Amino acid sequence: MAAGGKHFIALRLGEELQYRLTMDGPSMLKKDWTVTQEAFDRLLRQLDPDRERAGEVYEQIRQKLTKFFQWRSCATPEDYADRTIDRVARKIGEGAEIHTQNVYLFFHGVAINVLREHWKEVQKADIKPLDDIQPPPAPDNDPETAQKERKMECLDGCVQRLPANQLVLITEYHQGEGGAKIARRNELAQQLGIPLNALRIRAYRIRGELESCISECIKRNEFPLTPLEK
Amino acid sequence: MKKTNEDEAMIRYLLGEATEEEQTRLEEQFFQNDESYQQLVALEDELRYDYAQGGLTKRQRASFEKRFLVSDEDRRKVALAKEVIVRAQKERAETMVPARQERTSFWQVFTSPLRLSFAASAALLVVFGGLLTLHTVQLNHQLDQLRAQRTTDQQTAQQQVATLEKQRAELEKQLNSKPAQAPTPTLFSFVLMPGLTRDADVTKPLLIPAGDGGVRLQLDVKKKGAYKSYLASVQTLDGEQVWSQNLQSAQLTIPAKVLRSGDYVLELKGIVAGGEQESAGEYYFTVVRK
Repeated sequence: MAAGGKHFIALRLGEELQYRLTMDGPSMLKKDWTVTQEAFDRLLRQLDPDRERAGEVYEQIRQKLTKFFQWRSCATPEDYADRTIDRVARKIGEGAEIHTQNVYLFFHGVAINVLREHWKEVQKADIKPLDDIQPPPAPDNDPETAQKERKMECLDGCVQRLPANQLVLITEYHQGEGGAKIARRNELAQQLGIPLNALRIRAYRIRGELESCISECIKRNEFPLTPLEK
Repeated sequence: MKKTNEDEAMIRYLLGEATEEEQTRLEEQFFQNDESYQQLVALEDELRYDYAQGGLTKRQRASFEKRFLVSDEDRRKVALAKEVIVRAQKERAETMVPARQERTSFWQVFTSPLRLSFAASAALLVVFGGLLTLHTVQLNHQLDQLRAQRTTDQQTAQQQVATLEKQRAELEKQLNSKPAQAPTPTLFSFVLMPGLTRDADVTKPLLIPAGDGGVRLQLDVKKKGAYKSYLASVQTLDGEQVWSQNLQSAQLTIPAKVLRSGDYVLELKGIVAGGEQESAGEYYFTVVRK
């Protein structure tokens, strides 16, 4: 952690890794140590001797740590991911070697400790974990009618742009209920000659592309969309 | 066919229902293995879509709401997920009309690139032509299977509608004939309020005397006048459906004989002008048979 509660994030610019300072997370995250440039460089070297590859591994680890803290109900998962990386960098900076067969497991072990500290902080601060927070009531109606209409336009346009085979896959994948839906997904995977796991990823990507299309369309205020020839 | 044990473990993990041991195992797995990580991320997204479509068990829905339905942004994402699937299904239904098929048929979609590849490859290497033909036949076979599956689904849906209609007719017949057979009043009326979660303090038990009468329920619907008709389904908390019916209004009569003492949830789906269904409310109630 840099002085003043700043944090390094590795960014790849050309062939060189450069560092950007960003604002720190919530004040409740007490920082007791500062990541030096040297410690950070040593961390990257531990991840991979090749600096560019090390940057990629760093980003993968940070992504997984963020999800780990999110799935463990931390309200600010990115802050705790950074805190974990700081902790690992400190250990390495102090001369520790990562003896674990897999470097990812080392990060996971440290993350578990950070998580335990988080729980203690939550207890001390009497902050409700996510699991104890009741969902907010649904709004009675959407006051932004124009925005809602635009969203519908974008939704229609993006769905119409979807290639037919993807449209068939996504509707088949989400058809039915309960056991029938699961059976259908298994059948679909068999028909396509791919494992169920691969089908799940395929459906996830189609949904992701659709949502991105809708989101970008709304931002661009681009409607009505002209359906593309499929 | 059921979900694999691993899928079930991952779902438990995402919903915060996994044991500490399971959590550690899955985490070590996804930290080391990108494929496992991708599966979890995809499954998390899939849960959102399943939830939006009214899927998942009662307990899973409650866990999902606590974990993934916390902010307004979360709610917007779920609402979008629902819209995406509804629109995709509508779009697919429209692609079935002849005019659309002329423009882009499934055959063209699945085979055009292959046919081009075949022509080019055949001109260069005859041996590859044979392989491509085989591949085309396989794709054709898959297409036939998809079409057959769709036909079967339509038939199943029609049969389900016919069965429900038959059940409705029988129940109406029974209810209509009851007053003549039994002079004593056998209809019990209650008003149910919607609620996302079951609250023992709020839920008043419906006291229903022994007998074969009907239980009339008046449902308080938030979006009054938004639906042209409804589909009501009564289930036990274990998910066993005991009764369902199409309704013209948010009022229904359930044969008392299907209700034993216990807790129930009534799922009300509203049918809008376009024929699409959406959740109009969930009503928890407890039955006590005297």
